Amino acid sequence: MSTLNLLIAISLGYVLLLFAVAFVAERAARQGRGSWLRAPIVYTLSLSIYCTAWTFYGAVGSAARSGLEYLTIYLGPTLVMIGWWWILRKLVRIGRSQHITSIADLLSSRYGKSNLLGIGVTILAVIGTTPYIALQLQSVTLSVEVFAVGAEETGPTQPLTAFWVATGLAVFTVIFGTRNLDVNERHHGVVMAIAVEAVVKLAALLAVGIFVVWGLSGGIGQTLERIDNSDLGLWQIDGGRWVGLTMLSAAAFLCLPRMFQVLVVENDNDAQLRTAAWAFPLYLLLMSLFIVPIAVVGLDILPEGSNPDLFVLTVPLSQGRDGLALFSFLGGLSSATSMVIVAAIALSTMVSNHVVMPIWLRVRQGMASQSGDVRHVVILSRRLSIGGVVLLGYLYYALSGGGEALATIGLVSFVGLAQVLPAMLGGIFWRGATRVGALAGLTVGFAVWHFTLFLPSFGEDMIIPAKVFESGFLGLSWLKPQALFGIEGLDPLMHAVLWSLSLNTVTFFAASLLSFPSPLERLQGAQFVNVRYAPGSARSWSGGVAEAEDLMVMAQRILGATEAQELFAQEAQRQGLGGHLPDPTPDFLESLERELSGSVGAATAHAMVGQIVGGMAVSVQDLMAVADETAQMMEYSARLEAQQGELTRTARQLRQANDKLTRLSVQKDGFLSQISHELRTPMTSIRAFSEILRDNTGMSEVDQIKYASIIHDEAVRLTRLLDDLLDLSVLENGQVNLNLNDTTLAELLDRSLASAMADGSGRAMTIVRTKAREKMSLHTDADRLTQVFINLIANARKYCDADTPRLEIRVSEIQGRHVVDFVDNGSGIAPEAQDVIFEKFARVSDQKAGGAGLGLAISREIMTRLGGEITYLPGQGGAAFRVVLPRPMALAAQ
Amino acid sequence: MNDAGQSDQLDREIEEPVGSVFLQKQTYRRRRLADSARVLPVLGLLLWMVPLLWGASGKGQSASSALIYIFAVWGGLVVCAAFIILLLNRRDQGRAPDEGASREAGQ
Repeated sequence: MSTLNLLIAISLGYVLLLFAVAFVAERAARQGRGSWLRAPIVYTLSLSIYCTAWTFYGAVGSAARSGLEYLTIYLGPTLVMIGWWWILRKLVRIGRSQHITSIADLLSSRYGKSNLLGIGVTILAVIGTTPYIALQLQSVTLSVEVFAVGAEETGPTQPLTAFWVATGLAVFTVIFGTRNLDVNERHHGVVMAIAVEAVVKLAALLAVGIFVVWGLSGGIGQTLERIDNSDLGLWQIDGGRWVGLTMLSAAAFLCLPRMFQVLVVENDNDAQLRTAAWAFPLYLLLMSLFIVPIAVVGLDILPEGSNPDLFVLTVPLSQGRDGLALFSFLGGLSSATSMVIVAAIALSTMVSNHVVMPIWLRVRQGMASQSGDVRHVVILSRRLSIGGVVLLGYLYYALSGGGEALATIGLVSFVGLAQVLPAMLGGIFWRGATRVGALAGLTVGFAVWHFTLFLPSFGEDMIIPAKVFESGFLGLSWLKPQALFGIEGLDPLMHAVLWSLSLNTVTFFAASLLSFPSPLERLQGAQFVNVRYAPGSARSWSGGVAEAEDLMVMAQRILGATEAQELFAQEAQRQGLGGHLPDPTPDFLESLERELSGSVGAATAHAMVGQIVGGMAVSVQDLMAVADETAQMMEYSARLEAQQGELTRTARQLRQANDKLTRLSVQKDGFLSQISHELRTPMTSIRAFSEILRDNTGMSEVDQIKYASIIHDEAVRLTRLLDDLLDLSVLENGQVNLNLNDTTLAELLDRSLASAMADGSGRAMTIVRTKAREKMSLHTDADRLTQVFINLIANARKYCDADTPRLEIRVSEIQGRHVVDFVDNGSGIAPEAQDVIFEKFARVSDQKAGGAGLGLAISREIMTRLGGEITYLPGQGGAAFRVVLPRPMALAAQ
Repeated sequence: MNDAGQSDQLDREIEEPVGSVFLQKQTYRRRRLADSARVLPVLGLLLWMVPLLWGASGKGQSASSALIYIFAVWGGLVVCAAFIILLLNRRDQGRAPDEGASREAGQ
């Protein structure tokens, strides 16, 4: 049995072991016996996917080539973990409370559940991760080749090995990565398998290191001596790269999709993070402890020109330690596979939640409430995405030929994914960060990264022509890919880091300042930034619209029938309702949306609930809850102001009413005395003259007639007054009988004028008429209307105080109604008197008391009965009354 | 980070009765522990940036001493972090787990 076959057998056995571990873990979790799966140490070990094959093999290679610089890749994450109190504590808490499923989901959810942002981050992640997966495949292939060279089997096995590795990984990931559509998106089986792999790779590297230090070099002291005497003996580090790479790896540690998956998504409680905060740096320390000794010894004992990337394998092999080499191979395999598995899960979640599901939802618009399990759609899209991601990695590997181009790709990926950092940190620490800002920053950072690092990483003339490197893009010298804005001499990587991240951050900040977030964005922002203090959520759904049953149908499709029914029943019980369906309150909708978002992502869950609920409303109260104190004060004072305005208006109206009542009361008093006076004067004279007639018997006949006619006149006056009062009373009580007949306006006016002017007592008055307009026929009570006209004309005669009194009678048509205006040239009626002249007993002036002040009141009652109206017309240069004639139809109906 | 600071401020006001200037000793100690957890990464960053000064002298430092220095800092950070977290956990143990989480959140 050749070494290669043995290798394959051992690898298969190892993979089977991993399957078994994952299977057992899954089963334990399903049966509720999985508390050990959430042990902090498992979480810590799962973080080790940060150490991929690139670091397992490549760190030694990097150390052999450029000394201690490899350490920076571990120093950055160590600082992030040690500084857990600053960022990670908040991040995992947001992740748990908001049911975040991926880093794309985090940004999408934070910035108003914007799916555009989710898609952007997803694309960035796919582009940044694909080469990385290719790198893992390459490292496995190369390591297999090391053993193949020893045996007889040679030939073009490379792509074949990579293909089978890729297939195996895809199968494993599909089986354990999409086993369930967990609400919390946690994969116990995968995490457990990764933890086992973490132990294997650490043990393998330590074993090789111990063998090198104590087996080959003879102890620590001698090893250190050997290091000092080697090519790496002096500290020769580019300071810029030292700082820059430390920062970059710290950023990447937070932003890599696979790291986000294990750090945040798979996180279950704070205790896990607390342990990992010191234990993971320890793990990294151990991983990097023996790198330099292995590199130095490898350079020393292996022939010139050996690939330093494979020293971890070739050093034990050259010493005949095949067992150790095999163990080391398993360590490398573990590193590669765990990275690919988690990266594929993370990417497939993003692709499925932010690309596939939104499209599926849009294509099947309005079908969210239909029955049928949608989980198979989600799971299928995840599985296809996993296959697609791994396939992309394989294609990248196969097409790039697995050459030197891949060696630097790890850092290139780091820089690409680090572009998410400003939007992410801004999102969780700064409420002013907006969606527009995040989009703009990401776009700029992504573009700069592409131009300065990603495309040039393929080499000159591969994608970017050499001419562009020489003289800049479009011949513009400040657009050279590796010397932007004319700053030459920087390390290309540092150049790209500097420009992409700084331009990204500046754009993000500026665009956030200039734009204005939507209400939902502001709510989400407040929740993310104040995650610990506001466990309540944005109440964005207006309740009552949604049908609980539709929601139930939808929830069953995503969460599964049992889980959904349980969730609904719990909520119903909490609301104090019997049965299975709770009321779709905003609270419930919100919590349901979050449950769903754990499965399909925030944006998709939001869209699905939106399809059923219809409207999404951010109520004023919600915004108030978010707004800071100043805004609350302003709102409060605004409300007070509104109330005050209302009160002021009411008070003014009351004052007006009071004034009117007071005036009416004064008038009434006045009238009572007036009417007493009016009644008393004739009564007095009647009494006096009747006494004279009774007592003086020797009176001449002339005197008798004179006194008797005075008595008669006074009695007539009394009767007229009483008639008027009676008339008004009848009109007011609606007891009047109208005597309708056909006539013309001209005829009525003629009669009125003749009647009003017949009384010779008044002054002469000029009457102006437009006879042509008066020829309209009317169907009304002619006598009553005439009574109104007579009253108006008589008033004009009585009260017009002009030297040459003049009355104009205008007939016109306004808004389809015929009106007759009586305008004289006197001094008119004072404004304060205008609204009382139509009241009973009102008199404009006391000195010319010609009547009891009932004329206009009677006129108004008449016009109301006839279906017309009479009003005072101000601003005509004298007293002016407008009589609106009754509508013909209204009259016909009477 | 400003917002977080403000929130801390706010929370502090909520936790402590108005008018009390001094915290209870327990709370005070716990808060200082949190401070040390905050400072630790800054310290680590500073110490790890010290090697930048070696190049400036021109002579260069031997790789072995550089390795020992860096790993010593590393080990020190791990021990300090573990110690701080141990103390934090012990302090939080008296409380119910949930309450501990929320109390801890409030710091």
